[in-house]
Amino acid sequence: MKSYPFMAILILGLGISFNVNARLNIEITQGTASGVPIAVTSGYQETVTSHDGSPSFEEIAVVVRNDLKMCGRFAPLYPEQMPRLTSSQQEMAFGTWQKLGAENAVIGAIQQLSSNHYTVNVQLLDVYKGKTGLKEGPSNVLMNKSFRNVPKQDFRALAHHISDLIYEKLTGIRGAFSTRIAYVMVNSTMNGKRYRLEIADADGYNPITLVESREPIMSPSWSPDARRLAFVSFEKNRAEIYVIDVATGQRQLLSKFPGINGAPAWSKDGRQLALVLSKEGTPKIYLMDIATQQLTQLTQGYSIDTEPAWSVDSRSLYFTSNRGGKPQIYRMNIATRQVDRVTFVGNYNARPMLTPDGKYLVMMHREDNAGEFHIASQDLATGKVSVLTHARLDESPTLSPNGAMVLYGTQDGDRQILGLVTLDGRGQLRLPAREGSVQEPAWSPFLS
Amino acid sequence: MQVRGLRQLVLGMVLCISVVGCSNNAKKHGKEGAYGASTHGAGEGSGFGEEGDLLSKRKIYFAYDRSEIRDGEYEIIRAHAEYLKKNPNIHVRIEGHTDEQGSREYNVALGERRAHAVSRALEHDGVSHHQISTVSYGKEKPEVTGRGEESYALNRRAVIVYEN
Repeated sequence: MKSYPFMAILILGLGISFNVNARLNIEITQGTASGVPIAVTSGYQETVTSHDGSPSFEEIAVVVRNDLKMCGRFAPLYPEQMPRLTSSQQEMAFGTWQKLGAENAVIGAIQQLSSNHYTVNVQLLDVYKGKTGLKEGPSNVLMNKSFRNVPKQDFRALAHHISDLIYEKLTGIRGAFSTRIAYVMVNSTMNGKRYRLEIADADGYNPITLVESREPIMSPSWSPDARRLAFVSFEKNRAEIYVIDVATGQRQLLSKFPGINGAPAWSKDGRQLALVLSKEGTPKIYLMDIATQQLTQLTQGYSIDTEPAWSVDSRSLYFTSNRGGKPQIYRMNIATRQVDRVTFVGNYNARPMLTPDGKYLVMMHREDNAGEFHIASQDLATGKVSVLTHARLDESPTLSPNGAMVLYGTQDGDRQILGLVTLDGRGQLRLPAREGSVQEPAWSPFLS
Repeated sequence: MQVRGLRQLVLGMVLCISVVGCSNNAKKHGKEGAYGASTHGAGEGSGFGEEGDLLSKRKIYFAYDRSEIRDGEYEIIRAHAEYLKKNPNIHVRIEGHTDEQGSREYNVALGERRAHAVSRALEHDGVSHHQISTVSYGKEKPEVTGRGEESYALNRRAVIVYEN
């Protein structure tokens, strides 16, 4: 606690390790999350064994705190609020954490094995159990993990994995911190706009540009194995659907019919794309077999049908249609082609997306006699609609693969930024971009 | 009313019939192609000589969530139809746009309806459909930023872009 030179070296170490590739386009660190306080800190063992210049668990703790804050359920305590622990102080720390409302603490330590390999030990503790705190009896240790032979460059990935384990232990739901997001960045330059299709870690780090264009890019959609993205590009002054391999950057043109080519959505087996074509006159939903490029027209008639989304059992497609007058969400049984209306609340419902358990429909929603668009969820069993967000024009909702978080587009002045909200609506974050506008996020599936 | 206000700006601009503004090549992984200009400013300006002021107007505006051409806009379309009939080698691309309200892909569909409305009106006046192509950008390429009905009205448009 009194070792300032040591702390200074730690902070410097942090700077070197994190700024090398820290060109963030989205800062998922901002915003206020409401949630249960949780302490994430380095344990006393590390104070004893570490020496100048070696990495500290704090490097991992920073990423874990950010993950836990981002999911909207936790309010991680900051280092200033947490005393550096010596063996005699750890017991006092439990008292402090209890006063701050934390129910759990994550304590970790790093030991060096060789020049670039480390052992990382992590414990998840229940702050209220085991009055002696320090004596880690089985009653207050919820999780005890040791990761051996970890090279330094894997610390960030390991931190996300630790966040996954903590999240699953405390909520019973699989963590989604080791996933990726795709989105479209729009920047204004002196020669007009620049559009970029980018992917990044779920916390916004390590952004990679896949496609760059002077014309709009829209509707990124992940394949179920997360290796490819389908998207719409206007680079030839017309809409075309491409599939790009994320690792190699290689592109394949899939659809360039006259008129609209839009809203691609991968089937769960990765073999088909649902998409929108207006080649017969009005926008209709089609299925395309990706290998053969064979097309099947699904919807008929003169209405606008668009934005298909697969049901969890892959037997139905939800989609936006104005066949009843105004845009609402409908569902088609693919085998029978029977179409039923799904949304009845509000005068504009669009952009459907299903939660992984199939229970909720997440959508863009406008209430009657109101001008604003919000993200809402509808309980498919009861029809009850819950409005999750409250800005003027919230759009393009995408769900984390565990169904717990909704990433969406919202406005900030005259820019577009991303917002994050938990499915119960309680945790809310705003995620501003460094420069330009960010729109149309797409959350990847779990990465195997 | 909005069209008249724009005319002041428009008549002050020099228009080259060849490409003005951004080229449209994707920088990464894309194919090179010379596909003409499509930016907002590219379709404006004089340069058609005796055909009159109407030909310099390239934008048709629409009511919220609608794609019908309103009465006052027909004279613009007629002027372009006359010009295109006299010049059967000239092509136009009708670009459809919407304001920012609503979802992105639904707005692509609404923008297409607007482009189609103008295209059909030109064909109705005798223009060959070989001379016309359409594209919709939905809400992706607004003319003006900003909230409120004044901005929205300027973005709900179809733009006639001369390609050669």
